Amino acid sequence: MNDPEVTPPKIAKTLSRDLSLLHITMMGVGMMIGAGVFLGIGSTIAIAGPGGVILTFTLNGIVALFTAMSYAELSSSVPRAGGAYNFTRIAFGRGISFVAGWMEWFASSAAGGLYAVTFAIYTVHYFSQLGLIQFIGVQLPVLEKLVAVVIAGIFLYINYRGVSQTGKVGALLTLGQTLTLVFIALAGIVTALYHPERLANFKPFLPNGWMKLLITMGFTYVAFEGFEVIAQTGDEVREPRRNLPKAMIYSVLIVVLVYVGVSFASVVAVKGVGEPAWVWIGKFGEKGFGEAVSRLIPFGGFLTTIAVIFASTSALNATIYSGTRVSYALGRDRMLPHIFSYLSKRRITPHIALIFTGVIVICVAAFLPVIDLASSASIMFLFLFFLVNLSVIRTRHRMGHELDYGFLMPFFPFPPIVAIIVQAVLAMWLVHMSLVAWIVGPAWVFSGILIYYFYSKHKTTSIEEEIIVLEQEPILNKRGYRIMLAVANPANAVQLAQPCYQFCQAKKAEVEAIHIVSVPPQVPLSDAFESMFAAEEAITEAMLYLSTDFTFGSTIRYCRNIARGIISATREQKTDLLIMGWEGHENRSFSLGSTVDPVLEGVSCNVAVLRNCHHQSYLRVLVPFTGAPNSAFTLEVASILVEPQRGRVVLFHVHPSGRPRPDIEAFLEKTTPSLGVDGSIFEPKYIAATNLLKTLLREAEHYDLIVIGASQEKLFQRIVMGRLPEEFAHRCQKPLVMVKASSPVKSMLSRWI
Amino acid sequence: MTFDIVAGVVITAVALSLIIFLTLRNRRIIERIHSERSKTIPQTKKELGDERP
Repeated sequence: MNDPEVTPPKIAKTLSRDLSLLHITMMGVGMMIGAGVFLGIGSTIAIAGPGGVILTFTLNGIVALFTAMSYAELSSSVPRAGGAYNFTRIAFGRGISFVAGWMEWFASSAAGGLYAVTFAIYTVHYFSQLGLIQFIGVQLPVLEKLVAVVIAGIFLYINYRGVSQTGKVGALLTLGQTLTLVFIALAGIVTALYHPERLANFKPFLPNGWMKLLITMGFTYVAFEGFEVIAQTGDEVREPRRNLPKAMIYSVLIVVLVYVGVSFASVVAVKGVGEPAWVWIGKFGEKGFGEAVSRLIPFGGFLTTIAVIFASTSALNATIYSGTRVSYALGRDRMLPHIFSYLSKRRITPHIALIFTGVIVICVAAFLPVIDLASSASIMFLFLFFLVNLSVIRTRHRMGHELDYGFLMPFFPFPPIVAIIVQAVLAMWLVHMSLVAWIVGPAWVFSGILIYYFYSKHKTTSIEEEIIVLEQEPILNKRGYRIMLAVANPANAVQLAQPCYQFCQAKKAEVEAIHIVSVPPQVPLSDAFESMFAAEEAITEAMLYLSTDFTFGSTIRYCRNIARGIISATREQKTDLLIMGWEGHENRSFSLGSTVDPVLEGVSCNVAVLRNCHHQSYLRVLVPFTGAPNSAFTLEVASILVEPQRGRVVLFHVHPSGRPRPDIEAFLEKTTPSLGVDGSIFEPKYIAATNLLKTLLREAEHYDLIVIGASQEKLFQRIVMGRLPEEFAHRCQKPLVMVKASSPVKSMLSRWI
Repeated sequence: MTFDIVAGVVITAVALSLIIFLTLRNRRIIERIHSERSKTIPQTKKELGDERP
């Protein structure tokens, strides 16, 4: 059967592109709503007045949209993870790109510090209103700083562990917080309709004059910094040339409408405070938004605190890994000392880069006042976006005819030119808001220039290709029944390959062996190719066993989450049957494990999960029968794995006494002809008993293999309620296959969504 | 003060309209490019120009 001399086919290496337009749009929105709006509204109303806050966010929206168009055009032509660092490298070369990366590192870290402080301000304020803080005996500002440092430390540790909320979970959280803000905005509009006298809160519209808008626009610009995180997903998103530009533009539209809506709601929320509404809100400074909302709707303060907790922590997490990723990239390219690109052997995260990023986050959170912190982050993003807008003009001028654009901005070059001018003015005007920001920001940039000239310029590695574009991997043409064999390690590959051989033979199938490598979010997926993972061994084991007799392909796939990687691979490869292993470990949070559970839930093809199935075929196979939709497929799997000459498959049904039992004979009569096997190998067996699990376990003792259908319930229900098949699987020590049949409706839906 | 309110409302309305207009126009450009799979700037510009009245 096997010929060890045969040269195995080449192993393909692919990136798992499993983020959709919705996911990356929500990532951008989540990053923008992180803190700017919560902190910015109160302070902006204090400086620019009630009309000023609306104008601030609207006009900033235009500048942000122009910059988003620049990002969109550049990322559509070079859809590789890297963002501003990558774009400036293409446009201007290494010197400017180092400065861009250097600024991006500080901007992300300062924004992280700001989000930690936002979390601290709102949670401490909420608990102090409940009277829970006074007992501690610590002054509120000190407590806020302590909480900010602690929450930053927690998220630094989470990033070290390499655990991060996935794109899909993050998208859901962001959707939740966005809907909360939309609800607040709608409450404001309804209030204004029922109480039109509240519109008088907008008088005076701009009490301190028009020029104050320049200060507040610069100060709140940090609330529009989400497209950088979208650009970072270039390796992970489906159809990057189409979806990256769309997500950047949609995210700006969404946040502008949300910001304007909640600003309006904040102003009309206030009544009967004995002084102009804008003065009253302004007195609370950065807490003004929460105070206003608490007067707008019942439990408004609580609702705002919950929204801030979700928004600030998810944005803090994203900024920490964004800052870590850029400093890692600078280290990898030898622009910073090489230790920045070291990866932790245990966690495969860039721990040195993370430590340095953490130092910046904690220092700015602990030592900078909130206004100076927001201004420092804003000024650095203004500098960074200034460079990106220059890059889009230069790239079109120098290389526009060579690049394959997925988006070309209209009215070029006016949008980037307008954005450059306005960003320069806003950056300069920020000196009126925070002198500290104007010391910290330029000092950081100047130190970066010095580092480049005295260190990076001489150390930087020569890279043959300055532009590396990762195209989407082509989907292989499907010729017949396709089996995907997911292998975790060499030992597991050997075990799975033997039963897989039986499936391939029975279905005359082609087989694709896949090994999924999970890459922490701080490391670009595309870097995983070169540096870290030697994953070939597992696939080679399966390859040696299967490649001689069947059409065989093999892929190593790099992704953020193993389950998501498997699900998207089955979809892309149009897989008919997925075979994977299960070690049988107990995990209280999951029925079968953190990978198997979401795979069973998410894939739309047939699945067979194997445990301890070392042999090719078995003499006595037990199939617990329930008549559920999985039953026909369960029977098919049993008929494939049973020893064809002497084997027996027993369909076993346990029913409580007095209850009607299903007609297994009729089921066999209907199903057996389509299986193409001799019907005499099947044998029905009924037992009346009250304890189903115990009876099943006792019966299983007499068999060589158990084939059981997985629960049909959703994951949450399985965890909460507990399910018989999963519990049986944990307690039964025999070789076991858990199967789930494909759902045609789910397959159709997953193709469409 | 009245001037501030009128100017502010007009600027806000114009700015929001511009943002929505540009979003829709950008979306149309992206769809247009991807339906034709243009390769270069001149081709894309020509196609985008052709669709204007």
